[in-house]
Amino acid sequence: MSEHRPDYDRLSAYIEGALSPDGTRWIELHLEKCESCRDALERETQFLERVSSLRNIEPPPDFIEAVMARVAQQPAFQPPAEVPWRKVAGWSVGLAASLVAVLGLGAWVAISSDAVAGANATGLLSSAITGLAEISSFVISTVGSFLSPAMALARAGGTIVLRLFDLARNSGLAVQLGVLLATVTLNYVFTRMVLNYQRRQ
Amino acid sequence: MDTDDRAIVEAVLDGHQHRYAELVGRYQSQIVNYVCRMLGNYEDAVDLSQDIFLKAYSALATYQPRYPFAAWLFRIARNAAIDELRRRRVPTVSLDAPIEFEDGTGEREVASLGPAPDTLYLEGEFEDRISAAVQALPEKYREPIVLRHAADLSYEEIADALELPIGTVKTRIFRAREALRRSLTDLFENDSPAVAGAESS
Repeated sequence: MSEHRPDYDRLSAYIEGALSPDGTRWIELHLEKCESCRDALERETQFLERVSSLRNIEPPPDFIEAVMARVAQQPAFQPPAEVPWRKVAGWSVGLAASLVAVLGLGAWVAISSDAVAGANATGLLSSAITGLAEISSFVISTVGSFLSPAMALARAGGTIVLRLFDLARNSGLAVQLGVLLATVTLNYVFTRMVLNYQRRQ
Repeated sequence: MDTDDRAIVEAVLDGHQHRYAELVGRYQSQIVNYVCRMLGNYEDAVDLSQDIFLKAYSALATYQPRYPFAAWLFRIARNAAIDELRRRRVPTVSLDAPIEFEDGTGEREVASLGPAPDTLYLEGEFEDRISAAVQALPEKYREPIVLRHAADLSYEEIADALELPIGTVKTRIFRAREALRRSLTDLFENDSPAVAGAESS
């Protein structure tokens, strides 16, 4: 085999396990045939071991205590205000809250509404949306007012819900279903926003 | 199994300040080695390493858990080391170059960076030679080689810490090794008496 200059960069990458599987296979096949590269591999292994003596310095035995003594002079971080549902994934809380709101509040309003007497599916849905929209608008605006950065979005959310309600009241079943979906989505987005805001505090 | 760094950070942020000692213990050696090889002085390196851990504690709330903690910590360490070097304006010069005196020229004398002066002569010689050769490298090559061999970071962690593409990191490390091989040739020849002696010791 012809003499060639060993590729030390590739050899060191091989020693460190930083080559791709193909690169590793190639160099192992080459090493079987090339004595000068085998010698170079030995030298490079030794070189890397020696250079690793750079990490031989030991911190003083009381290093951790010294650092912690200074850390103790700093105020400890305050745990965030405990929110009961904080540990639960935000999306599941948002979705669950939205579904409960739709099914529970909507049904309650529908049952207690005058319009429910002898109503068909459209009428029932209309009443459910009415209740949901009013309650969502109230809750979003009220809760949002306590979270100043979220307030603008909350007010916008409340307004949108009311507009959806107006749209749905005199529309057919398909539109009402669309409004229902939009309201659930809005509830979800808002709940996520509140959760994220709480986490940053 | 070690507790994940992120879990410890979360515990500290939840008010368990004493848990920070676990992070200090985990990274003290790597940080002290890195800083010592960058500054070239053990006492200064220990002091600055303590400052680095204190800075990291103060900034802990800004740590983004999606990044490795080591890379985040070493970014702080790197900035501190560079600031210190600039503040002191430590020149990087070749240790082989003679120094001018009023009555002629002489050789530089460099204190050993190792904390244990009673190490075996040959090991001490190796370490001093390698350490001096690393100190003589330009900063852009010295930093990655020190992070790789003194702090034992992976290429990916070095890329994160230096905010450089991984290809650039590899290139700089390979170039730094090439320079070290050249300046330390006599230590790594197979028939070198120094190596043979060290191997048999």
